[in-house]
Amino acid sequence: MGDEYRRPPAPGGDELVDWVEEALRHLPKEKAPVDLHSRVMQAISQFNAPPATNLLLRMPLTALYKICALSLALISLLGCAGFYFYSRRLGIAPLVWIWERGGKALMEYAAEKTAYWQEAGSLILWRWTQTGLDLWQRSAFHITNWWHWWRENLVWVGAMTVSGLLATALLLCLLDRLAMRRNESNA
Amino acid sequence: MTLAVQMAEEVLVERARRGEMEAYGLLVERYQDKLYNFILRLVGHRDDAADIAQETFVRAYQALPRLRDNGAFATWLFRIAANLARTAWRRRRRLSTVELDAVMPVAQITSQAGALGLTETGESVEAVVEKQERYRCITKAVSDLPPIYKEPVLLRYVAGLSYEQIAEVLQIPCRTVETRLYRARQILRQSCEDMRSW
Repeated sequence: MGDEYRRPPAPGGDELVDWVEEALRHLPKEKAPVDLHSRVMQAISQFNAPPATNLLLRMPLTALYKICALSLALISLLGCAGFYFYSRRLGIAPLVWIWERGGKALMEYAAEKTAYWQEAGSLILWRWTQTGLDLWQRSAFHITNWWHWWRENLVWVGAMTVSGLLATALLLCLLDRLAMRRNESNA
Repeated sequence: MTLAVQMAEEVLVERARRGEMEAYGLLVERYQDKLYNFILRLVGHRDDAADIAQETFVRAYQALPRLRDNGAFATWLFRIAANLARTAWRRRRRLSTVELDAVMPVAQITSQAGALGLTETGESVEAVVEKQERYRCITKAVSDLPPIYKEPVLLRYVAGLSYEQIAEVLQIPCRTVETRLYRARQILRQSCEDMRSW
């Protein structure tokens, strides 16, 4: 833009578009109300706590929930301290006492369950593969006795269908949740 | 926006995220004029614009921990403002009609003479009248634009955002922003022609 004033061109033609562009760049602007800043700061200061960076505290918890959580934490802390000092007074090492009374059994139980689920998991995987292969082979070799095959494999085919549907539903839920989070952050 | 300013803004956002109100105060100070003008031209009412601007800043502060990219604070702020302004506009069910006098007193226009290359001393009465007429014309034309064109125009020329930032605020492709701005200018041109031909 030059230093000298250029009279706006007559209506029509691309020059007017340039004039429109120029006029838009100099659209009249107002100052924000003088009290806007103080109003915002006052509104913000009414919050009990500043925005938290901690992942857990980012959840929109009300003050009541926060009080409950803090109370529980305090009670747990007091309980732990009480147990520690009481066991020391009785002459028992607290960690040994916990291990002897509950820890050992709990670990054994956990190991047993882990082994069970490992076995069950591998069985399920094996059946998935076998059923899939069986289906492919039979369709490939044009086996006509489908009724027999269905009766034999009904449970596994049903399980595959249901688990597939569940997995799809779970995936959709996750995607939905992700979209919601995205919308929340956009808002 | 220069890199230094952008970095300073990111630092301010991070500090505000940690709960430093002074840092957020600086951000409010930085954006309040642009945001207010943007909302004012969308809703067409000063009190509403001030309320929505306040609400925007408060909501942004509350949701600050959810902001993923500190550098995108401006676009995020204008997105919140645009959403709130749209809601307010729908609630009121009236069109935005900001007349020139409602936006800027004549005295302020005269003081902005330099903006269009006019010197304070060499300004004739005709030039001032012509300028007033142009402001009135363009302001009226902008306020009459359909929302899909008005929003990019205001974000570009009032808020001073780049095409990429506008695309992010309106969640449309950059190419669409360019197209809408081009069409908006065509509409404004036609409106000005119509007004001048009276």
